[in-house]
Amino acid sequence: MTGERRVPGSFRDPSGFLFYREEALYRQINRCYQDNYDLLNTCGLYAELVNAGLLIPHREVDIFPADPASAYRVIAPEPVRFISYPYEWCFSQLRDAALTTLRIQQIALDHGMSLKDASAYNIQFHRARPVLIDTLSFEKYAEGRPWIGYQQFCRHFLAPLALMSRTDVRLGGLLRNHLDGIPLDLAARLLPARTKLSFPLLTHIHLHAKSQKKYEGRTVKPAAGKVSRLAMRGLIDNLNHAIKALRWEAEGTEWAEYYEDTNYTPEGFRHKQRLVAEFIAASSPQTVWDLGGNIGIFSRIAAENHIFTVCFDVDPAAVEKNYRQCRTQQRDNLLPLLCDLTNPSPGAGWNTSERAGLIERGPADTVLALALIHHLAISHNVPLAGIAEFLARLGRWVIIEFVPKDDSQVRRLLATREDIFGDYTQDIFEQVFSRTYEIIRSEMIRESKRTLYLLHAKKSGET
Amino acid sequence: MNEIEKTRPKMMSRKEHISTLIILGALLALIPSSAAWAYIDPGTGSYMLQILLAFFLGALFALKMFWKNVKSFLGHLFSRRKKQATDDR
Repeated sequence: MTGERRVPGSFRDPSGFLFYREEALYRQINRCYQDNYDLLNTCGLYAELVNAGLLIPHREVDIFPADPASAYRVIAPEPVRFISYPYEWCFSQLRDAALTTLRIQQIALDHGMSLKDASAYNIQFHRARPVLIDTLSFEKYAEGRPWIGYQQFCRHFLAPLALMSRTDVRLGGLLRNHLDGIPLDLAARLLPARTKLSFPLLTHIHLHAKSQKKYEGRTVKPAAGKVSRLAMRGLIDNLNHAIKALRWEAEGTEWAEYYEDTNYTPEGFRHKQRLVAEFIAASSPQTVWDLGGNIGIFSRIAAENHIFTVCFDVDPAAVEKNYRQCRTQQRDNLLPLLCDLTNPSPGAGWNTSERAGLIERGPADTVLALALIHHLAISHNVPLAGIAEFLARLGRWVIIEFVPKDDSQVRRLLATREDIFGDYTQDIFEQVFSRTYEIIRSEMIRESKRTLYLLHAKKSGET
Repeated sequence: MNEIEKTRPKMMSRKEHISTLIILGALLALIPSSAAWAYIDPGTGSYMLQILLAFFLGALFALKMFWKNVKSFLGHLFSRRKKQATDDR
């Protein structure tokens, strides 16, 4: 990519915007934000938040602004390796992002500033920690002014976490449909009645939804009310308690227990790990995407070799386990995310480009597709050619495991359905994938019927 | 002038109307004004709830902080006495 382009999702706040120039990311700060930007630096808030790892660091750069008529400064934020969205996060990722937002607001108040929004999209996982990436989210705290981000915080964080914790963890997926957070009346309807016995959920969700309904269609003048600094601290403290009280344990799902129920012998499993390590090394990637990576056992082979790795899985419990392990181990180059490969995140929001689709956020250098192909081909009826085409869009190198029909896992998939998969053979797999890829290496995994392939995409026109 | 402006006519019972006016009147009499302009809509219902809620939560927070300080003071006092007693021995 060359030239200059604005980041499509950076248009709502008039304080500034993000743009790419010659592949580097910059943020223009507009003159209307000058006072707040200067205050952020002079009051010590920027330094404290950056030192605490809560705000993305930046440096001021002396380059020509993207929009000189409105520009005050241009800054270059430290790049985030992979932009992820709240609907791709597991429960604890969203919970940690919520607590980070509240901690930032508490520190901002100490410095006489306040968050002017509380969007979950302003938080990203950077070096394994949730950080605020929007440097322009702060404004001078005006004594008595209510927190403008209160409603947004409840919609973006509290409502989805309450639904995931108290109703069903899969309801986090509602965030994909409701990009500005889950409407509180919807959350109130979906939450069990017993949540009205919890003071924070009663007030911040149930009564909040009722209050919205009561004042629907009315406007409040700016002079309508005052929230003292102490009251603001009380509100933030209560929201903090509300978030901390919400828990979800990742247990009992099919995939989270997957490695306790595989058909590998210990030697077969060790051999597979060794082969994956060799194939990753042969493709010398800087980024790896592990598709259907479960709790990230094979992702860690890449991550331990200092390769930035994103581990996608469809199961919230597997992603939760992976994330908690990353957090405990302070694994800063492995990002677990939720993704249904048969329905990956599309481009969404305004002009379908405000939030990028999965494919647009690639390609990775190397894609891992281990013990995956049979689920796509047999459980979801995706033709082998379709799988090859999809993988080619995600990365030039592919490490893929072919699982034949006589493997016990495939037999299990076919046990309750008619075998309509005449084309699902190793020969046809090789023929089909050879149209798109060159087979660099293939090795049988010991004490199994499976084969591991290292593939490299052919240049277009090469067959 | 009433601080709440109706932009859409809505049927409201006389009882509801009176109670709303009393609550809002009481609130507005107590609360000094401050400007609030933002690029996101804080939402009228959210705004009003926050004002009410924050008042109570602020009071609770003050009590919490007071109790924390008392505990810290007592803890400090007892640990000093204990230390003194140990030193005297």
